Amino acid sequence: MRAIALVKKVPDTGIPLKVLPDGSDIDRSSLQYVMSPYDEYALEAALRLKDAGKLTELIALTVGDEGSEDVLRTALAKGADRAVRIQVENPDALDGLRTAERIAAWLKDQDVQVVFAGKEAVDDAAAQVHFYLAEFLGWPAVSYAVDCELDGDTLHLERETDRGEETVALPLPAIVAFDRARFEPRLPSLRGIMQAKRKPIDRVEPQGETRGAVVRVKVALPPAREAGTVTTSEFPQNVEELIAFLKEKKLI
Amino acid sequence: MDYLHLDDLLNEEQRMIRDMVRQFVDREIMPIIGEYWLKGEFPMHLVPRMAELGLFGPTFEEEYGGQGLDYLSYGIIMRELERGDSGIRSFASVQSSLAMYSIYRFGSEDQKRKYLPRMARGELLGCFGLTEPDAGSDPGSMRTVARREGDTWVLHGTKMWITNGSVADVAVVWAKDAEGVIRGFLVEKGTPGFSTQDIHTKISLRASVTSELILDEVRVPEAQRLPHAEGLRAPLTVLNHGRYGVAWGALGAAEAALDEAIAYARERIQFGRPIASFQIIQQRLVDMLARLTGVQAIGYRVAQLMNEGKARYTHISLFKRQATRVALDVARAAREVLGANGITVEYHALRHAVNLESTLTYEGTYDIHTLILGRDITGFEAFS
Repeated sequence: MRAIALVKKVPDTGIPLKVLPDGSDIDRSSLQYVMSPYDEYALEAALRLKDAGKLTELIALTVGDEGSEDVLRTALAKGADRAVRIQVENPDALDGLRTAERIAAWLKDQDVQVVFAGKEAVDDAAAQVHFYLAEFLGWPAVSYAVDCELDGDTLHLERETDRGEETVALPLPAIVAFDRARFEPRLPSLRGIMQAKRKPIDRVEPQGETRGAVVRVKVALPPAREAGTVTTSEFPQNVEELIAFLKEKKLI
Repeated sequence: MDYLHLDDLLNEEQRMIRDMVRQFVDREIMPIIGEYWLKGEFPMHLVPRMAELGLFGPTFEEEYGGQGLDYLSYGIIMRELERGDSGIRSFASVQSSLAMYSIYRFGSEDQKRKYLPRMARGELLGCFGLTEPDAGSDPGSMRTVARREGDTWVLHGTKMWITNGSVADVAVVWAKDAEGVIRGFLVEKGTPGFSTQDIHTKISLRASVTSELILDEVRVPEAQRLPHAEGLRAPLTVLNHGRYGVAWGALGAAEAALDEAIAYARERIQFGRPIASFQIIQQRLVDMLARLTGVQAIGYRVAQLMNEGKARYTHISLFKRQATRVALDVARAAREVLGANGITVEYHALRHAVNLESTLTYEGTYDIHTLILGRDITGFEAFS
């Protein structure tokens, strides 16, 4: 059984962002990039199935420019068998729809039974690619998975929702999108890193529109928060002041 | 802190190695290290993890359990480990660069096949016994002797300040034969007459096992002697190799301390503003930055020389001397920036500083490296 893990290179969200003076984009000059964390969970879920002998081949796939091959190397170092990059010169100009179109165009000719994805990439948080992909391929898709098990032609998923935990089963071929999982993503070993060099990355020419249907018009940082009100009174005077304040603001 | 973007010189695979070890340290060492350090205990559960990640003997060929790694990669591994703690890095150094390297460089093919792959997998731990209570900077004055009786060698003496001594399954022991020639032996744990005693009174490298090795008429077969080691040059060659990793490690500790001091100074408010806005703090931080950047550059150049096979032992002496001194000074200065908070293990600068006191001394003291370099540039030996 063959599976694909979709991985995306995103800015490390631990580093404070700056916006370009013209507001067209964030300043990318001092960013560091990582694999999107939810993609890491999805990849780990796939690697676990591969370790258990339930997948014969795991392919890491990204849509991006040459620089985005870093995340493919990372996936190869962790244990993916090979990688595919659908070549795009300016991945940030693509939206979820166009990205999914490209993946679907390549995927329809492949013998693949499961697609693993993150529930969203942490840069744009659009959470679209896996659902568009499901639509184009006509496959079932489930998001917010936290664990999974493969049993014959059925994928069993544990998912966490606002209403509680849910176990679902879906027939293959299928698409699963991971939330923060019940397990931690592995680190690549030195052996894995050295072997990754020798694993192939196929570069695939894109098909379809090169501009997104959705175009980013402007980006801005959120306005700075105003300082709050501090009371320096003693108890119980301060509680009375708080209640008066909340009433005045019509919050209680 | 990498002010000159020296890590841009890393290739893709070296960057991945750096990121892997850094994540390992962040996830598995940082949350526990303060507690283990205070307890005076080495976190043994990290050994199988480090082995799994491939951190023991990575420079050796695959047949000996390594990955054929270059020396810049090896240096980066040591730097990242010591960003966590000098004791953790010492463990990896002793296993890889002292114990495994002694066998790799001076052992027989049989010995290499018997020990190295298992040591790489962390199934066997090693230590390196050269220093003695009365033979530190002058190892040639060692008193441990090896007496030959047919096909057996009888070892007698005491080794001191041996990292991993009591946890090691195999000790590389250096001893003088009847002709006064220094030879190396592989002494396995449990050999009659061989015992260890841990040193518990340390106020440095507390998260590291340091032991005394006691050899009381220990009998080992000729097959356990390192056949290609003859004379003091053998252990000194191994130490030269080890101190390359010590120097890289010191950079990691210094970088961690400086990063911590800068972050703290930007947040800590006194007199109504961040202390980082005071000139005296800025001067301290910039002095730390400038000195650290100098030794980082030395490290990259020595790594290149190592990879090209052109590194002289004096180059490594210079690197080790500068890196450990600067790192110690940086970590102490960082502690001062941290004020009272700096004296706890919740912050890392002082733990690094007191650890670095050991690295300044072991694998050739600061002064000995001064004399080695002095001899090299003047032609006069000032040791004796």
